[in-house]
Amino acid sequence: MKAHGPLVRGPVLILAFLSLAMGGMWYMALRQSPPVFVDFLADIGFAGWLAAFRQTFASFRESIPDVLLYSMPNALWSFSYTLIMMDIWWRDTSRARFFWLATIPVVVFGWEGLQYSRLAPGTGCFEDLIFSLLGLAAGFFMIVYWKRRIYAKEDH
Amino acid sequence: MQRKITKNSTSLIISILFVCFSLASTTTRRSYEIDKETGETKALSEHVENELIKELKKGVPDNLGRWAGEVEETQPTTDKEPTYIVSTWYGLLTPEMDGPTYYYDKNKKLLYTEHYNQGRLVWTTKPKNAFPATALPGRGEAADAFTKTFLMLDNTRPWYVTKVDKFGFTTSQLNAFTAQLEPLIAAQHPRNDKEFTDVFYDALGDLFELPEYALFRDIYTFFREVGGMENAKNFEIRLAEMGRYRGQGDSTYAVLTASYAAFVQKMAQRGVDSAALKRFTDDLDARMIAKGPLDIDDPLFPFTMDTRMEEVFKEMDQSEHQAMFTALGVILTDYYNQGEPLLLAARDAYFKNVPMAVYMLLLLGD
Repeated sequence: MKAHGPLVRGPVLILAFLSLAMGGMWYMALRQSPPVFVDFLADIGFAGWLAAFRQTFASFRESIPDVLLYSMPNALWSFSYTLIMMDIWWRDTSRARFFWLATIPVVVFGWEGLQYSRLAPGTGCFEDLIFSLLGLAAGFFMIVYWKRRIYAKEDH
Repeated sequence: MQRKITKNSTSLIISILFVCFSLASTTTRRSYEIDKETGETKALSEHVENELIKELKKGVPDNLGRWAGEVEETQPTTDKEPTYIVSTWYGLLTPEMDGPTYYYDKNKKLLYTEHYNQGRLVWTTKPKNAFPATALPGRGEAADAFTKTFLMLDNTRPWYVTKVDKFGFTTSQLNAFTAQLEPLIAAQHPRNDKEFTDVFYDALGDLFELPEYALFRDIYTFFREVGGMENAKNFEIRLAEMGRYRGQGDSTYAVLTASYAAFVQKMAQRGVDSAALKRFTDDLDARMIAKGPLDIDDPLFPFTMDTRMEEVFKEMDQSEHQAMFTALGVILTDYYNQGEPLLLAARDAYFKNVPMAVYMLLLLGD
């Protein structure tokens, strides 16, 4: 009987975490209107630190196009979520797999959809959807490529 | 079996975490609600530029959504004082500070009072060395330590100097900024208000390119937007749309022609004839109606309507109403310029001499 591997492999976990963190940093450094979590950080005493952090990236903010400025975190976060979920449920034979894999598009697009239909706060837009799709696709193809290599080695 | 449970529970936790991230990453720019603490019908209005430059206003709006009476203004809590300001606003015609403005520290202890009349300072109880005067080197030295623009600003709309300082751009930095701004404007020799405004924004744009003014650029943008939005509450199409909801006419166009004839004429002068205006307002009405009914008895009706109007303006096809949108751009820019403290101070300083009394007061101050 084969021993089970880790639930989420180390490199996948690191990549997903980095991607998630980069999305958060993107908001903190570049977005003019702060989201709720940045407000929260400011309220608990990190306002000065956030200001200095933002100042460091001030010139970069000017040079990147709006579409990247506003939609990049969507791509990074959907990439991260896809990586983790795919890694957990890849090659699982249970029916639960279908449910959890289905949460990928539901979580990634559902939130945008709710914003777009004004049922959730925020500004859902077409660009956000496209970037979310790109993140999802990148996560999907990366896991497929990675797993195939890993399983090919294991099967061999 | 154990592994399946672990997989399912891990997936559940991760999904919840990501939903939380999605919720935490939403941005709310303005919000209006009833004050739940006191039960009073007060509106809360949050204006946010970034995590440091933001302001929460709480007060009573008139039936058109303009501040009328005392408005409590709270900025992020920092060590800088004052944190809490209560100003009195006069909502009619030109929304401006009119009456006493009280400055409090973060413990709600009164620091001093400024009294305004139609937006301009009349008198103050601000003691010497009160915030933010201590931050200004040169106070009490020769009056030429200050620029004319700074003096004009500090003596007519000191709330601006105070708040800019509080947001991290010190009073001496503001003085230094105006010292760079003035020669840039003077070099272009503007001859009237219109020319001055163009030259002012060109000069401002040049200075805002400099990294040392990145912070002030954000602060400036914040106050310009907050002030402009306040002034735009008197925008005739907004008022007419509100009138339509309240049964003053069958359509926004009908209310406009009945109650705002001067606006219709002004639009005609700007190249928007009655037919184009009617086509625009009919399109606006249809889109507003299509979004569902609004409760006109709700005290926050004006704000709800504003949010909806903003959405509709964004949805409207600009090419279909090209002349109208061009005229609207000019009108809204005028609203944003009307109460812009730095522009007004720089213009007054350029076209008028700073009163001798201001110099004398400063010289006698120490």
